[in-house]
Amino acid sequence: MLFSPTVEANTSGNYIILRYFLNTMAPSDGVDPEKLSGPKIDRRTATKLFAAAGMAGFAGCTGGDDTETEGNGSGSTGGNGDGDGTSTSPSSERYGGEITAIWDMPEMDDFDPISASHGNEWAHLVNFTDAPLEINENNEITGLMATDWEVRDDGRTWEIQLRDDITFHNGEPLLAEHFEYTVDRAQNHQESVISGSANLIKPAMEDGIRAPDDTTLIVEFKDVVAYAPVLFIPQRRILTPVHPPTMEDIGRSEYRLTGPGTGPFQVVEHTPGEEIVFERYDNYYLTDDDGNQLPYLDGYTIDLLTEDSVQVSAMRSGDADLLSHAPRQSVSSLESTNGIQIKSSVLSDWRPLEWNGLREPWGPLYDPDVVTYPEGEVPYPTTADQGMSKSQVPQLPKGEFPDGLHDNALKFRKGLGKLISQERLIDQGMFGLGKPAYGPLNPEYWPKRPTEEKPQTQDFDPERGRELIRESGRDGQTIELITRQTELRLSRQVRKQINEEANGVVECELRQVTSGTLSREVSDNLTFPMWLGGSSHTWDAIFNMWNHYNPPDIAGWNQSGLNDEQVREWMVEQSTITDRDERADLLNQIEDRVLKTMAHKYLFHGEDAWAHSNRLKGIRQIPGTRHLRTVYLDE
Amino acid sequence: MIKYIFKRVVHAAFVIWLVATAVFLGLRTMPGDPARLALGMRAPQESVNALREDLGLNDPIYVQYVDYWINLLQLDLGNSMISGQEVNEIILTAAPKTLSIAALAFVIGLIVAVPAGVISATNKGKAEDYLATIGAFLGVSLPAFFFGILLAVIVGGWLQLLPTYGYNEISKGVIPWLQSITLPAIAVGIPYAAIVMRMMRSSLLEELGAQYMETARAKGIPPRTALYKHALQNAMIPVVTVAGIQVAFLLTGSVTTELVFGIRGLGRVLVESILQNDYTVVQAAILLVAAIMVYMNLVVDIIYTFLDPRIRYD
Repeated sequence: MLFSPTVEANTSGNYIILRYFLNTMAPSDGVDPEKLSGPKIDRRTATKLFAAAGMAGFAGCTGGDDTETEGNGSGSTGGNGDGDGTSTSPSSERYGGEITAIWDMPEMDDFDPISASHGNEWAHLVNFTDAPLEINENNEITGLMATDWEVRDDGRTWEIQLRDDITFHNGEPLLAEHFEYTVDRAQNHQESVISGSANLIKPAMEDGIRAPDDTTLIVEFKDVVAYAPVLFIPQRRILTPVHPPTMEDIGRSEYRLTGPGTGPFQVVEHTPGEEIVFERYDNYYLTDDDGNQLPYLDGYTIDLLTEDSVQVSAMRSGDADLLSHAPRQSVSSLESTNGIQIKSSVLSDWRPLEWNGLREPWGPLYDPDVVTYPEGEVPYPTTADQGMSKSQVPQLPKGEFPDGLHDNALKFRKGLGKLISQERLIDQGMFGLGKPAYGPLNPEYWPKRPTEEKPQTQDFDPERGRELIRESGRDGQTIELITRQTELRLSRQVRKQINEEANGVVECELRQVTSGTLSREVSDNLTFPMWLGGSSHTWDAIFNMWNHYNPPDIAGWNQSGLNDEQVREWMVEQSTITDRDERADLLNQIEDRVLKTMAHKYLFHGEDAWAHSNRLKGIRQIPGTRHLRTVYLDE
Repeated sequence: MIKYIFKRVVHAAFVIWLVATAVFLGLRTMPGDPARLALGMRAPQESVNALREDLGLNDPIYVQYVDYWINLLQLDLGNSMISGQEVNEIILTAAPKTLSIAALAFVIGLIVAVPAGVISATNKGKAEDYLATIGAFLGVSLPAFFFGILLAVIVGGWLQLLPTYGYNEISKGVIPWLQSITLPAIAVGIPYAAIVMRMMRSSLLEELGAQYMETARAKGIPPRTALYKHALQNAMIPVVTVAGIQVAFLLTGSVTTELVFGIRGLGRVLVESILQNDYTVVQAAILLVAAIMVYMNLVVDIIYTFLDPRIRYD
């Protein structure tokens, strides 16, 4: 068995969580696989495994000592939330109350999970719908709907035991067969934005997902997927069950406004674009540590507001209790306001200055050993009006690069990157919120490689930068950065730094465009010059690279035009490696390779800052997520 | 009169057709793909293509135009390209908010503007006049959203007297409804009051200096009677005209003020849908605003003929 569920207790001995362990117990590890097969595990084993396993390798964080503990394997609880450590109210007295939360988005109409495409929606989804597994405060994966699971066929087949007391918000019981319908939609619905991940599972119609009985779910992958457990959490939206009869009955347009889901809160009123009223779901299946049913709150109302000033005024006046994303410029003033607390954590995402590798002076970004072109032919458009659809990219002819073209382009990119200081940018463009990025993998997340061990291509060295640009023979050019209104401040800082440090070897101009123009230039036609691209916060390192570094024909977010067959091979390979150390090494290798090609100038990893009033307690702080099921009011 | 009204109605219908056509064509020349915007920058291209087909965006432009008018004449405004919600529903939800704010702003504006204009005109050169004039100058110079921000911070944030954002339906009670629209209405009403007040002052000053007022004073008519019965009545004619036409100002002021107060009225719907290339919603919202403008102008023109019988339109 490569993967095994286990049950472990926390320091107080009453907090049972289910964990999964990826296979790291080769004989050389000195870990006996037998120890992972049963429903109990000693902490030494857990520590050894989690040093290499789990989401971020927070080994044994919930264990308190070396004493062997055991649980009954009957399922997970809701936990207590990490709270603020200030309240001592017994959990039975936490019931009641309603809060108002401001969500920083114009609309939240994707309670049909297949089309939830925005990080803010994923952050909230956990309150509305559950999945077999979830991420906890220690960034570990634990059971949620699942009480147990077994992995077979070298990791290709997962057999998950579901709780038998889960119901949809309409009162109908959740049956394992509902997942067949759910996954089929995720794979095949024309508006599914998760079909890529969902298709790692064998087609639902070909028994990729089966329900032998009401509480047993078998998921069969096409190949080994090393990060499979991450696909089973609510935020990934693949195994967040929809209720087939209701979907057929009310249709998708209605379902996406109201559900039903299976989470702690149900939608009772939805005014599109304005507010959504949620009520406690009385038959929710989770309880807290003391056996009291969750959630505590009677309900909450989400007001959809995108104007920063309104959000801040509402928090300051006490009209709202929670702000899903604190505007960067207002974090410090909100923090200094009586009665308001800021929660923040560094995310696993990355934001780079992304250049168009299909155009001069940045391109080409292709690896000449793999994709080459006839001598003398410049294999990419050189002006903005020579738009190229992504599907055309792999059809470019192969041959030899014109002499020096690749080297000069690389020098230019390196030189340009050295003109920008990440620290200064965070300080002046991000109000100090963020962590400097020197590669796509954030050292604070697994595989946790320190910055010093990465290839030093991303450092700030303006003198060397100017030298490289001159050597590239592409100096004296005016380069353009396009941006939308929401990124204006940051983009201005990038322009300012380039122009200040370049001393005339290159000049940067800024062009502000609408979201429509940006998506046309960046996503559709690849005619953009440079923009501030990047990834979202994710729960496995590969998600930060897969869609950016695979060739443009298969990677939806590869706007730089990087086309490196070696990177592609490694990315496919790492997905099948279940040994975490080995997989970490390969992920680091991919990062090395990408850094050497200078596909991006990495700027920062985001900081997830949000605000709440002091009367909210029991908050579980999980990056990129706003859990409300353990929140209560401490008036 | 009937012939005149008929002519004006035909003229209004022509203007609305022109607006609808211009908006239809203008939107389709805007950069950006509504399907891409609806599904997000990172949605698979296949999903985007499928949605484009579903929305009829792959049809020739003339086919889309004819479909648009056929549906419009049946009062079927279609569905939002982004949310899928019925446009009729979106408009019917948003319009009462904008109209509530505009109506209250209209009342506040007139309550402030007419007395202030009268006081200013009858105390020309005195402190009251200067005060009112400076106030009006500020009101005209500063945009409604600026007043909105000030009111939200001071009245909503510091004093916590009224909510800083959101809208309560009148069905939830008149008081909560009034509370939710008072600050935005004041913000929109101030610039409106300033314009009307300036007109009131100048118009009244003109009347007070007229020969018939000299005659009234010579005949010994009490100043108060002369002011209210003679001068003010005549001075109101241009004021009514300006107050009516400036209702358009209230609507445009509401657009920005709604953003400040987080109210999803027509203004916010319009801005959001323009940014998302949500053609169907933009078309409907602009058409409605244009219809209100045209209708207000029509009403003002008609009222004016009653107020000033000397005016003839034929």
